[in-house]
Amino acid sequence: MSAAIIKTARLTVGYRRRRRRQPILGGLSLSVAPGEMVYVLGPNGVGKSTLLRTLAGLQRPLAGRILVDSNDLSHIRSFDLARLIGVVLSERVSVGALLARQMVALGRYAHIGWDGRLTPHDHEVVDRAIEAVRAEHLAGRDCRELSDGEGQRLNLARVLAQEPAVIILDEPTAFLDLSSRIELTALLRRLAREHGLAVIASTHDLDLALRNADSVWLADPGREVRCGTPEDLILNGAVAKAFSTAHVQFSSESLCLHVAADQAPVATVNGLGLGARLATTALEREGYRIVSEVSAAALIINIADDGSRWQALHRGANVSGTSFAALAAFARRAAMVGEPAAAAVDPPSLQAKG
Amino acid sequence: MVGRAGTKRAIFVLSGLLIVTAAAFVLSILVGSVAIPIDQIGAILTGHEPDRASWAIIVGEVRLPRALTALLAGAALGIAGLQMQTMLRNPLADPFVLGITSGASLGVAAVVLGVGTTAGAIFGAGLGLAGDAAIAAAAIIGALLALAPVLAISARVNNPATVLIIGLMFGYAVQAFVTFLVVGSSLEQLQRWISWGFGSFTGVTWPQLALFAPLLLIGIAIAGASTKPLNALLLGENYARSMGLNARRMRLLTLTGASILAGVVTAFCGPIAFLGVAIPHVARALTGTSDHRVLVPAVILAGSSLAMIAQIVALVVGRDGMLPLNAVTSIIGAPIVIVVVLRTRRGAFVG
Repeated sequence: MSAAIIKTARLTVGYRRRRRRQPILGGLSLSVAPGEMVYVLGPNGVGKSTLLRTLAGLQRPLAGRILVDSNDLSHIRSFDLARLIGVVLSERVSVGALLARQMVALGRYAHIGWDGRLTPHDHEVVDRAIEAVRAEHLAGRDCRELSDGEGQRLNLARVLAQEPAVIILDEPTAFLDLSSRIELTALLRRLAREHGLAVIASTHDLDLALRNADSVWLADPGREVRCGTPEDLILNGAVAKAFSTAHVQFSSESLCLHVAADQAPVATVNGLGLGARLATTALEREGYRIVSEVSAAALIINIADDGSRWQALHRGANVSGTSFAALAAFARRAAMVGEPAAAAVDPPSLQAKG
Repeated sequence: MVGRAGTKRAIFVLSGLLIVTAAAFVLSILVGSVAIPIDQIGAILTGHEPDRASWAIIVGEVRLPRALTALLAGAALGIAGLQMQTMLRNPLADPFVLGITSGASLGVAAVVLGVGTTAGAIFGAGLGLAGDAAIAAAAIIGALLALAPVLAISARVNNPATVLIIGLMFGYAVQAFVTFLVVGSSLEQLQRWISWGFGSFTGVTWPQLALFAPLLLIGIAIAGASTKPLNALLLGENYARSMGLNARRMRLLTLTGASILAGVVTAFCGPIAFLGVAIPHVARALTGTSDHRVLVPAVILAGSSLAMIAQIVALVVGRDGMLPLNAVTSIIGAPIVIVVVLRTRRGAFVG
């Protein structure tokens, strides 16, 4: 990767209240290269937004320096900074009655004259920005009629029209539905790769972030930020340390947080494909901890790859069935009683299907 | 290209508004308590002698300055309202919320009601005993005194909503002083105070217009020159800053411009109700856009014509003398705001 576009040196971020400094995160030496996708992760209130706002120049650092393209951020004029750093905030964008394309064109602010007139080149940049987020069909729509996901995509187009080298996004997916979240995450990834943009985003979508980040900045409540590739941070336990509480645990297999299940009955699932995945989900919902070693498991499930048939071994009992409803019911009884449950009977309708 | 339909509509609406404004201007010269034939008015305006000398005075010294005052005041209040609504991102914002009007009221109250007290006597004597010029001067001073702390605070805080609240609270506090003055004043003084409070475009003389007009034109020019930052502020101050706007400078410039507009109008015409809030909503509903490059001219034209129409209605309906202008603007303004709010969907308010 090429040289860093943003670099911090012993940066401390936080708030000033009545001349008193309230540091939130300190001693940060971070760097981002062009084309790099960085996710900032951490529990609420740990200072992710403060860090991002400070990097974006919307808030002054308490100590330390931020270098953007080798220049000190505090010495860059706001017009020039806007050509280096674009920002997407977690607040919903509501601009009133503007066409989506007009909203995107607002991103040209730092490139055009006082009268706001767009040159043919500006129009071309705006069109390319809308293409990049694949929103050509939305360009002529009134901003008030856009869904949250569409609005956020066009907001991203606005930032692209700004032609920055870095895009900083504070929880851009916060109010989006699941498919819009995944779409936006993929879009950011593509923008970083194809446009050579440095992208720094905070999110609570742990698994999406861990799957899509080139680097992760993990802000943990111990007031430090660990940086690294997602895999390294998972392997050295940093992710688990940052997110695990008395009641919640990080699972490095699913890359998700789960309700802590130390006392939970242990089960193992033998099988492949969809069947095994669904059986895992069903058992986890019933409170089981899923492990891969058969020896440790009290409940062993063998399941067909397509999920059509299952067989359960529990304390010597051997039960089989053909629906997940029956599997769940069996697992629930087995977990409660700790005894071999009576043979599960499929509901007639499901049996007919199986 | 996208947006051509919007441009067409904007041109159509703006031309329509221009025609309405011109018609309202002509009408406000034609209509008055004395009936003057149209051809005579034409003669007067083209510099010829009318049949009766008094007609020339009525048209030249009363109707023409009155029409110009209404035209400028309507545009000024509308622009000040638009600037406040966009910058504070609040549909109900207008010059009143910054305490400008309250400050002007206090200035006027000090002159009108304070005459007789020591301070009032000195002030009044120095300015020709509570004459119109003294009232205007007091209103401008009052508006500036009320605005200064609000501006000073708003330069330091980061949140437009905070500015709004501070302005409102300041307005209430200033109003309390006005009440003190009202309590201790004579019946005659009260009458004068109340009639100022009715608002009026009448009685602004040519020499006063020579001060009134340039100040308002400066204020309007500030808004006209800042359509680009106003559009950026549609996204909110944080986004506007991230796109390169110097938010504090813009806020100071806009607040100063708006307070010149509102302060000067209040000084010469009294506290005109409702136009400041209503006109931007009317302009947005007509043009169907929040783009300030369309909204600023639309607000100027809609404000001018609404003010002149209100003036005409006040004249025609109030047979004897005149209906208080504020009664008319409120009766016209309130239903307009209600209709606009009910007809437009979510987001119509913002900017």
